[in-house]
Amino acid sequence: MAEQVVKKVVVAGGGTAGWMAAAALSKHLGSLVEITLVESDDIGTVGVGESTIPTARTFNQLLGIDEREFMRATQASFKLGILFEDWARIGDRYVHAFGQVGKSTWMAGFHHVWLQARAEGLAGPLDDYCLEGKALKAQRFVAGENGPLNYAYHLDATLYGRFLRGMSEKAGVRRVEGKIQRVDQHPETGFVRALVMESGEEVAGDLFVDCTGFRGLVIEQTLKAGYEDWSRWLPTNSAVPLQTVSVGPAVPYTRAMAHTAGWQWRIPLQHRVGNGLVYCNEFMSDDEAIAMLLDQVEGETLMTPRVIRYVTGKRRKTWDKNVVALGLASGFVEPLESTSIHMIMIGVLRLMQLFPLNGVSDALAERFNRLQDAELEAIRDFIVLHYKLTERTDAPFWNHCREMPIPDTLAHRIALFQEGAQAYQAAGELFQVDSWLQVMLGQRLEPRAWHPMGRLMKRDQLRGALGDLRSNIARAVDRMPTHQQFLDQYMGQAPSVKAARPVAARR
Amino acid sequence: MQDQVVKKVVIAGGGSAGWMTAQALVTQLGPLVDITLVESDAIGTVGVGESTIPTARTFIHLLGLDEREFMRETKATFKIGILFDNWARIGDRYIHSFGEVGKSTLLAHFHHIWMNARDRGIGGDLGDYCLELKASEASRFFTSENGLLNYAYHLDATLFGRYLRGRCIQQGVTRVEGRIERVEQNGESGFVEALVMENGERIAGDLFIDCTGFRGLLIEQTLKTGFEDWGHWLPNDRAVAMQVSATEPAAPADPRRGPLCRLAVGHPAAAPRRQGLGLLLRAHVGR
Ligand SMILES: Cc1cc2nc3c(=O)[nH]c(=O)nc-3n(C[C@H](O)[C@H](O)[C@H](O)COP(=O)(O)OP(=O)(O)OC[C@H]3O[C@@H](n4cnc5c(N)ncnc54)[C@H](O)[C@@H]3O)c2cc1C
Ligand SMILES: Cc1cc2nc3c(=O)[nH]c(=O)nc-3n(C[C@H](O)[C@H](O)[C@H](O)COP(=O)(O)OP(=O)(O)OC[C@H]3O[C@@H](n4cnc5c(N)ncnc54)[C@H](O)[C@@H]3O)c2cc1C
Repeated sequence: MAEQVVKKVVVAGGGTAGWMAAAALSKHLGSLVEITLVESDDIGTVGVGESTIPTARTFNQLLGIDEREFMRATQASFKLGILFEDWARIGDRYVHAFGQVGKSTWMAGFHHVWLQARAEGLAGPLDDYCLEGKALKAQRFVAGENGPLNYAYHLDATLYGRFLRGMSEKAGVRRVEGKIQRVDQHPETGFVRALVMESGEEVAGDLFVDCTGFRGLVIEQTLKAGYEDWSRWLPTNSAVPLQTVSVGPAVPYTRAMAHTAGWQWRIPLQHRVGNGLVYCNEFMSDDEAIAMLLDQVEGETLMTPRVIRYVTGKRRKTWDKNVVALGLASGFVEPLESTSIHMIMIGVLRLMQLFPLNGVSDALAERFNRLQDAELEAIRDFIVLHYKLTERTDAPFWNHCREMPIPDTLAHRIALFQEGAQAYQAAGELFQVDSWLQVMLGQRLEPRAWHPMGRLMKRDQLRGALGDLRSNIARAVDRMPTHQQFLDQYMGQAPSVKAARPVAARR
Repeated sequence: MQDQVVKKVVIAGGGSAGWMTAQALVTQLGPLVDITLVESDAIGTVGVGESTIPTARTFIHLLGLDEREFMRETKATFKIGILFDNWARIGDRYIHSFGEVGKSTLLAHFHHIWMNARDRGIGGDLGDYCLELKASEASRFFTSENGLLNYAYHLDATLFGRYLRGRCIQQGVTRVEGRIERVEQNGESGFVEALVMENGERIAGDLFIDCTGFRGLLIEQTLKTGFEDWGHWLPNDRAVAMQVSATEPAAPADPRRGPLCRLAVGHPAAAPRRQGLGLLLRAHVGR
């Protein structure tokens, strides 16, 4: 029997990443390893990260979390996708919904048939063939066992951390409060031996999970893993979050509204709305950003805006020696497609799949790093797509984006779509063809040609197939309650005043 | 509306690759394109390639073939894996089957659980947890709609080509017999425009599929796309193939047949008319 080498796991940092790691590790490996989490009340957490993607549900299932309890504890609402406003051109609106668009065959995706139908004047807007897209626009929602919709959540990041902390502590995770002053390494191997606290306490361990946020206290400041800067492709570097009182019903989508030097998010929760402005400070000053945000938000503000600065990119090694970095410590791509919490989740999952119980090996670390790198690189390309495909000429920021160089991998994807409407999801990639498609078309990338699948169908057949699909989806959406109604009922609350009047999606 | 640029597809070569391609294209895109296949009886085909993997089932389904008819026409047997003889050590035998081994979870694949159990003296061989592996050891087989076993076929490559050719011609593929003498390219773009036959016939097309075997008449001899040699990782460079009549039900390989013999398990009741044997070796063994 191989000897158990890793007995003590130390999680450094108690933000979303730290507590997600602690909760998952204690749930699944708690009987084999001792888990300690160190966090500092003084330093605090980044306190943002409120919009998720459907893999959040997988994570909850893996942790055995009850959905209602989780949603009550985090003041969560449901999310069906993102509404992009003013991206390709001012006045444009498009939806990136989580669902499948139409029915595809092995030979050709649905969109090829749709493009043919559109050319023959037989097709409606793409969203009409996607249940989630249609429901999103109608602000309707329904869930339940085997529910029809693929969804995620909007949640309060601070409450989420608190919720996971409760779970973790119940499962035996020891929490140490205080500031880490230095990191003690083995003089020869460089492996981390202990975190030394300001109080002098030493928190020793065999495996360290670095969740200390942007600073990367262990992975970067101690091990100097290095950072790959991606800002030439993703120029934004600043964000100002701002919470406000909600003034209308919660909509089942995140809004991503482009402005002159970046974009603004709006995320509806049960008890409030999360807002924030993302921008590049070379094109907009912090004061301008704060003023613009204050001017744009709808309800009373619940905090003073504070600027967060970041460099888009990733750690060269997210697993180095006996340290695995998760969350902001491992890298950051702006929240345009709500992917950071997903990266934490998939990272924790992979760490558990590759868990070095019998000792860290180069092969394990390399496998982890390759998987995490590929995942984030594909996400990066997807985000760059939104900026690169702009037609806006109203501001220097957009001129810069339109003309900037892009990764070869993305250039190839754009050419493929432009020339033959071909899109793909490579093995291990997060975003499906449906996602690429909605964003590419939403950003006005018009394909010159498409697969002949649609031409193999007779005109009546084509009209019939698309018509049926569209009316079935419309009928199903009509039967759904509004998102706010469903949310109130699901949370067991008396319907709020906000729910009274369903509002049509802004177009 | 987009212009249709590719109207004529020409397939050069009528081995397994050529006829499989012709069948797939005519079945799926037949009404849109004109398909011509050129092959030479004098040159012939490589005539091997008899063992498949389960994706063959997906493919024959997509070609619209009926499984029984296909098996009858190609004298096929079922295959659920490969028996490897003498690989790690002389005398060793192991099976690589198409099945799933045990039940895995999101957290860990089954073999981790199995290894743990083995450490504690619980459980049997890894193969005991794989249906296809147990069945191949016992030379047993069963299939039905929603059958349990993941399988493929052993088939006669020449008969397969002949079978597909018959169907393709019926479905409208034009077959041209003869030797391609040269390939005509566009003076500027280098795009292939036509194949010129020995008898002078010119076969023009918009898209060419090169299935001319090892020679790569279009892709290499004409376009010179280049070849990546992997011989330093896979040193064998000769094969001797031989067919013998079936003397016994298709059964697991006989370990005495030679160092690199491979034979997989078939269904005893569906004995092939003949067995394929072969030897792979390197040109200068002992160098
Ligand atoms: C503007 C913005 C918007 C975002 N929006 C989204 C979104 O919509 N969706 C999404 O999925 N993600 C989003 N994210 C990302 C998301 O916020 C993070 O992935 C998530 O919060 C994880 O943060 P973290 O736990 O890695 O870091 P932090 O929250 O910064 O936590 C760091 C922890 O380390 C501790 N620590 C640090 N140094 C020390 C020390 N010396 N001693 C002791 N403890 C220490 C801190 O106290 C804290 O507990 C967003 C990020 C930003 C910046
Ligand atoms: C030893 C060996 C064992 C194999 N075993 C397996 C196996 O078990 N399983 C498996 O999946 N695959 C196997 N393969 C591979 C398999 O045999 C081939 O992939 C398959 O037969 C396809 O061959 P082909 O059609 O590309 O070429 P070929 O069969 O060589 O066909 C070439 C065609 O091009 C034509 N042609 C060439 N030049 C001209 C010209 N100038 N004018 C006109 N026509 C021309 C020929 O007439 C012929 O029709 C094996 C291969 C070898 C060598």
